[in-house]
Amino acid sequence: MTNDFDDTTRGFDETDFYPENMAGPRDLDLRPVPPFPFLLFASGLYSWRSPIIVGPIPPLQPIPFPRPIPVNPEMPIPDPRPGPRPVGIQDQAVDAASLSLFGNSEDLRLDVDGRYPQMTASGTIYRAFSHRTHWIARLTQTAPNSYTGQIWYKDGDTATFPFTNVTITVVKSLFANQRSATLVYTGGGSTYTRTFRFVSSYFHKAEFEYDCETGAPATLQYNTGAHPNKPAGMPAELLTIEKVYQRAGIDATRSPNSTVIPNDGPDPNTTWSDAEMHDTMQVYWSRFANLPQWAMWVLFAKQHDMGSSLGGIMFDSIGPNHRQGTAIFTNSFVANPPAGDANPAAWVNRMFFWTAIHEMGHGFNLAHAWQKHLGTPWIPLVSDPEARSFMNYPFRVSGGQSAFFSDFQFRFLDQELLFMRHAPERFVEMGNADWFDHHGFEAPDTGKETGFALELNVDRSKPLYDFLEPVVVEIKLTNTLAEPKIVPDSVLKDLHNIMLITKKEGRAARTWAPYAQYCQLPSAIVLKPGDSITDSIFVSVGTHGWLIDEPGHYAVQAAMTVQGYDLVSNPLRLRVAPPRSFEEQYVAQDVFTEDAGRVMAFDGSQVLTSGIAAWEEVVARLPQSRAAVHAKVALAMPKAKIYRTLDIDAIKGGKEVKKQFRLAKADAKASRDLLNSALMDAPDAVETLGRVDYAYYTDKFSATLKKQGDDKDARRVSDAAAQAISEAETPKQHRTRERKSAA
Amino acid sequence: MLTIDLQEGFSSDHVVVEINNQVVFDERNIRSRFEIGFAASRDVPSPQKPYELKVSIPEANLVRKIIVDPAQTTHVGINRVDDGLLVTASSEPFGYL
Repeated sequence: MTNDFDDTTRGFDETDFYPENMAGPRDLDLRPVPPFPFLLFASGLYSWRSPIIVGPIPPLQPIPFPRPIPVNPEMPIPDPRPGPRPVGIQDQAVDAASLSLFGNSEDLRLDVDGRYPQMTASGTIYRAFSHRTHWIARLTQTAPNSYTGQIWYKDGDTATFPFTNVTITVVKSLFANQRSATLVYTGGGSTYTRTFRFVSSYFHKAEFEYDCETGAPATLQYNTGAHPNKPAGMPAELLTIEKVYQRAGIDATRSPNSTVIPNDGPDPNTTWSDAEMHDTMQVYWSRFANLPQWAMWVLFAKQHDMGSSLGGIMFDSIGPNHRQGTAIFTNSFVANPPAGDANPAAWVNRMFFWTAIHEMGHGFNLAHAWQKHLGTPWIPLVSDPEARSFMNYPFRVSGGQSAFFSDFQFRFLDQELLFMRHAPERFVEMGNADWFDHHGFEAPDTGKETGFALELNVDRSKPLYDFLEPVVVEIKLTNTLAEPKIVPDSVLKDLHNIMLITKKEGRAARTWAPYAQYCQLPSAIVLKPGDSITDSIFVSVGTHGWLIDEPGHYAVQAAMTVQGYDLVSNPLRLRVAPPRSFEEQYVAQDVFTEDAGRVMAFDGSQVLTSGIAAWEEVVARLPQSRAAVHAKVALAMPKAKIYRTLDIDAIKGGKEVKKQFRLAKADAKASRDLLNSALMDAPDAVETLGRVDYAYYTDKFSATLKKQGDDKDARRVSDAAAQAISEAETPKQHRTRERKSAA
Repeated sequence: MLTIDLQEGFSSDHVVVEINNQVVFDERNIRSRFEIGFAASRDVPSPQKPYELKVSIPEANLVRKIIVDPAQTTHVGINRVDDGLLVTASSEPFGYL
């Protein structure tokens, strides 16, 4: 929606075109065109997203047979030990010139005209969802469509953002898709230009859902001309809560899911505690979720436990996500007009309307006008006890509420608008909070408009793992739109683009980083509507060590960037059972080591001897265990083919170092025995390996048998694997079966 | 009867209120809620004639005294501010939003 036609000088407001009784989304197609002449505005939200670069599939090149490496004594080849861990997302210093390489995006909020312009621009640069830089600049106009200014605020990953000034040139148009803004960053020894596409005349979106207790009517609008005490010259209009916030730059909409909450207990006049309101919010708010979102629940209720002295409250300081719920109390002092008032009914209506917007302002993290300097303000703020703002108490100013409303314009102050429009999103967005202790998945752009859903699942009926059992989770990316989407075929294999965090109950969250990263030329696949791609991730161990080892409760969550959008998965909760025997505790000392972790992660080794020994011990001492299934696969895979190792031998008595590849013969029988035992004989192989990895290993097993000339056995493996996979229940099937049994 | 409202600025404070040197309110861990500017409230009996109201935060050496006329004051609001304690007298209940 655009407020291009919002001409404040003529008292002309685009929202006048919308009927006040409209609930739910507005129908943009019915919006009439205002008469000439009209003004085009530059203010609003602009966006840039990096495209996915897809190249042609190169022809396969034959891998040459290894030749001896020429020896150069001046350039010794280092020992074949694990080197420094691969550079992960947290280590990369992305400079401005490479902003376009990794699925980045940028937003620009330009605030130079329209309603209450702040002559400000702000921007957010998103890199790989966990890196974010936010800046704010004060602007002056230098030409009809050009603005320039100094950056006075930076937040987030500022080390890679050296710029000190911005120059912005705007292209206006009647048609949204032809509007753009070109921004030139300068200063700090660098210059960088970015062109943004227009997105919206508003700076943020927010949805408000209003519910009422039986007998507590909601006040959602007010006729500003109804009460005689008002600023001289202020036009009379029917003002809605949404319109107030729209004028503040928020694309505010009203949820269609309003509910009247029954009060059918023994005492219909029972009062509300904060905890009760929070519980009710969880039940009745259609959008309740323990995550940040631009949405708020507003309850009109009779009275709080505090009594009639509390007219309203932003009660949601409970749980992990605050500021999502507010309440207004109809049986409070707000309902009591001053004695002798000229229009008591209008006075009360105005106060309830004002109180609702006031409490919702707290949901946007606005403080009272006299509290600005308290707590931790986002920038140094000056308190103003005389402020004519929704965030002041009318009765606190000199002259009381009469003086307040005599010059109150039903708006927020400029410093409040600056905050709501331009502060870092996490400061304003309802429910925004640190994620997983001190780890920050910064509030991602996970709006429904991304068209993707990211899920983590375990391929078993209950997320319960045996002690020592390697944890393999399934990661799934789904196209949630009604149109096809193109994604790289390796989108779930490029682990540098996926951030995974595990957290054991009682411990700090830790980032999982893979032992290896793969650089591939991406090719594209088409995801039809509703289609998914799936892959597996072995999350127990990585370059940061073993993350899932001891018994206890864990949570795992993933995030990634696809087509410039940040996706965050569900938090997957799982449990590791305690050891059942002394044997398990004994072998754990060798299993939970780096070498053993690497052997498991790379499906085997012939050089990490201590790691190999650890898994051999698992097979010997715990042959029926789930850990043994994984161990047998890791021990079998290197034996299935000719295995190449790099040997470095120092020649006795001399400085010459002999380096050569050594080829170990395949041990087909040993490999076959181990894989048969793990994949064909173990009853829970599918469940412990997961379908994705089980299918992968059985495919490789079958292919190896075929290569060895045993077609019959290859077919046996394929057929048995297909049957095992089809017989293994999905978690959904398991729940359905349990429900039927219970019935 | 006097209603004592502890309002803004308290952060786990020990607050003592006396009327004519008699303690009528003595509580620890008084904390203001930013969202409503309110910490605690207590109704206490008060004399019929003007009396001295003394508010203190002993651990911070903050003290404030006022003379209250019960004919005009039924509610007092107490705030901790930068340079001490602020006491506001009112004949009506305070409202919080």
